[in-house]
Amino acid sequence: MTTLFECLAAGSLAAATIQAVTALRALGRGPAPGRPDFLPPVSILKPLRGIDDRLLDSLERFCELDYPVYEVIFCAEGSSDPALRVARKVKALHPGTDIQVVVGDYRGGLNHSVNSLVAGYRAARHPLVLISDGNFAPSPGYLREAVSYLADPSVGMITHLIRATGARTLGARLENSHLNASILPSVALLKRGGGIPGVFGKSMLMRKEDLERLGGLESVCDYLVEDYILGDRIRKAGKRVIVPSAPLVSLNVYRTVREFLSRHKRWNRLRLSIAGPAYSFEFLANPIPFAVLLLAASHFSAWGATLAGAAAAWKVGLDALVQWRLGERQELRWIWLGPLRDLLAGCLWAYAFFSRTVSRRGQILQITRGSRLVPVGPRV
Amino acid sequence: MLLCDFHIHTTWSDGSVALTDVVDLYGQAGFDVIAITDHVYPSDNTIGAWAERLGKAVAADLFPDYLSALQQEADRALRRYGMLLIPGVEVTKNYLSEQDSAHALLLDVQDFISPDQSWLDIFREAREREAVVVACHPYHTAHEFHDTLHFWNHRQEYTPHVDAWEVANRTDLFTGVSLGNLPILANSDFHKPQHLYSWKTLLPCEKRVEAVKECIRDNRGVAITLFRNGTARE
Repeated sequence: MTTLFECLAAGSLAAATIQAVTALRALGRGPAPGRPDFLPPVSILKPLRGIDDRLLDSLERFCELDYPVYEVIFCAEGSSDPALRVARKVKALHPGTDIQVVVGDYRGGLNHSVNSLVAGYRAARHPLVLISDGNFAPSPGYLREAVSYLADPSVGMITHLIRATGARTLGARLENSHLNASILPSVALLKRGGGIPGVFGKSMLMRKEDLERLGGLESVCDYLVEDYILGDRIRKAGKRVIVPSAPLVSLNVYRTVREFLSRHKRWNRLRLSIAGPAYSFEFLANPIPFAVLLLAASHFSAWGATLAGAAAAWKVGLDALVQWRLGERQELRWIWLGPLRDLLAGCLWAYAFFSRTVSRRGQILQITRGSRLVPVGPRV
Repeated sequence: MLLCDFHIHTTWSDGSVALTDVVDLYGQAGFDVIAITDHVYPSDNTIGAWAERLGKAVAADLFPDYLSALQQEADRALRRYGMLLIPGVEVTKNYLSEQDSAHALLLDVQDFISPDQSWLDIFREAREREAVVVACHPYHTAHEFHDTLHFWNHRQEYTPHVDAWEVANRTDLFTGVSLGNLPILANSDFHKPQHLYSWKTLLPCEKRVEAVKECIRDNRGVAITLFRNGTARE
C-alpha cells in the first residue's frame, strides 16, 4: 500500500511540476503581437452583481482606458443590486466617458448573470463586444492591446489569465493563492498542452457578428459557465482564442474562508460537468492529499513523514515560483498556507461528485453536462 | 436618499479593520455618509480599563489623536468618494447584569465627553455640544454576547434625551422600537468586513453634516434597508 501511495505522490509531484513549468512559460511567452493601429469602436459590458472588493476603483478603471471610441455598459439584473449605486456614481464622476447603466428586463435564462448581460448587449452599439465580469482593474492600455489581435480575421476571441492579489484575510489568501498557484497553472497547461482555452468571463473580447453567428448570449443563458461555452464554440467554429501572456489583476481583499470554500465547491461542480471523466486528472496534479495518504499508509513512520514532508516542500516551492513570477512577492511569507489550501482543495474536488445541484432564488437547479442548468421540482 | 451607516468600529477600538481601510470599504461600496464610533468606557469600569490597556477602546488621553485621525480621513473620504465621515464614539457601559448595561452613540463629537457621568448627564452634555444621541441595540440581539437593555427598561425616562433608537442593528430588528413610535436609525455595528452587509439607514436630506443631524433628529422620511451582497437564497 505504501508503495502505491509513493508512486501516486511521485506521479502527482511530476504533474504539478509540469503544470507549474507550463505556467511559467505561458507567463513569459505570449502570442505574436497584433496590429496596434486596429482600433474599431468597442462596447464594454460589465455585469454587476453585488459589491466586489474595491468595486468603485474597478469600474472607474474602465472609464480611464486609453482607447479612441468605446462605451461602457453597466448591467444589473435587478434594481435592488447594491452595485447599481456605485455604477451610477461612476457615471456621474466620468461625464466624459460614454456610460450606460442598464437594469435588465430579460428573464429568459437560468443564469442571472447572463440575463443581465443580454439586457446590456441589446443596448450595445459597437461592432466589438468586451464582456468583463467581476472585480479586476485593467491598465489603461488593456483594451488597445486586446483589440489589436482581432485585426487577424482568424482570431475569434481574446481572453486573459487572471492573477489574484490584495488579500487581507485568511479566506482571501487561500482564494488568491489557489487561483494563482493551482487554477492559473492548470489553465495554462490546458491551453498549451491540449489547445483548450480556459476562457475567463473576467475578460472576453469578440466580434458581435461572431457572437450572433454562434447563437448570441441568449443561447448560453441556461449555462453556468457561459464563458467557457462561448470560447469552446468559437474554437469549434474554426477561430482562434488568444490568451496574451500578461495576466489581468483581480482583487480579492476581504473574502472569508466560507466564501472561498463555497466558490470552489461551485467551480469544481462546474468543471466536473464540463470535463466529465477528465476531471479526475485534476486531482493528480495536487500532491498534498497523496502525501497525507502516504503518511497514513506508512503508519506515520519516519520514512513516510520524510517523503510526505519532501512532497509538501516541493509543492510549496512550485507555488512560490509561480507566485514570484506573477509578482506576488509579498505573498511569499504566506506560502506555508499552501499545503492546507491543497488539502482543502482535495476535499472540495471530491465533494463535486456528491453534489450536482445549485439553489437560485428558491429554485433547485441540476447542473447537467456542459454546465447546463435544469430546474428540479417546483420553486420553493 | 443618502445611504448611511452611523455605527462603525475600527482598530482604534475593537474593530478588525483599520480606519483608512474602513473608509475605502464604505467609499468603494457607494455609501454617502458614515460615522466612526469607536468605544469609550468609564474609567471605573474593569472591562473598560482592560480594553484601554489592550488598545480596544479610545482612552481619554488619546481622544485628540483619534479626532485628528478621523478629520484627516473625513477630508480624504469627501475628496475621493464624495462621502461624509462624521466623528463619533460609542459610550459603552457594561455591567454583570444585561438589565443595567447600555451603549449609546454620540455623533459629531468634537470634544471628549466623559463617560464617567450618569447617562442623563452624558446626554445633556452631548446635546449642549450639538452631538446626536443614539441608543444602540436596545433590545435582545442574536449577535451580542451580552445584551444591553438598560435604555429599553427605562425608555420613558430616556426618550426625551435620545435623538434616535436603533430599530435594526446588523441583522437584528427591534420591533418594539418601531411599535413604540420612536425615532429610528438602522446600523451595522461594523467590526469586520462581512458586517458591511447588514441593516442601513436611508436619509432624505442633503449631504451635509448639519443636514444629516437635523434629519436624524426630525426623523421624517427615514427609511431602513437591508444592504445585501447578492440575492436572497442565492
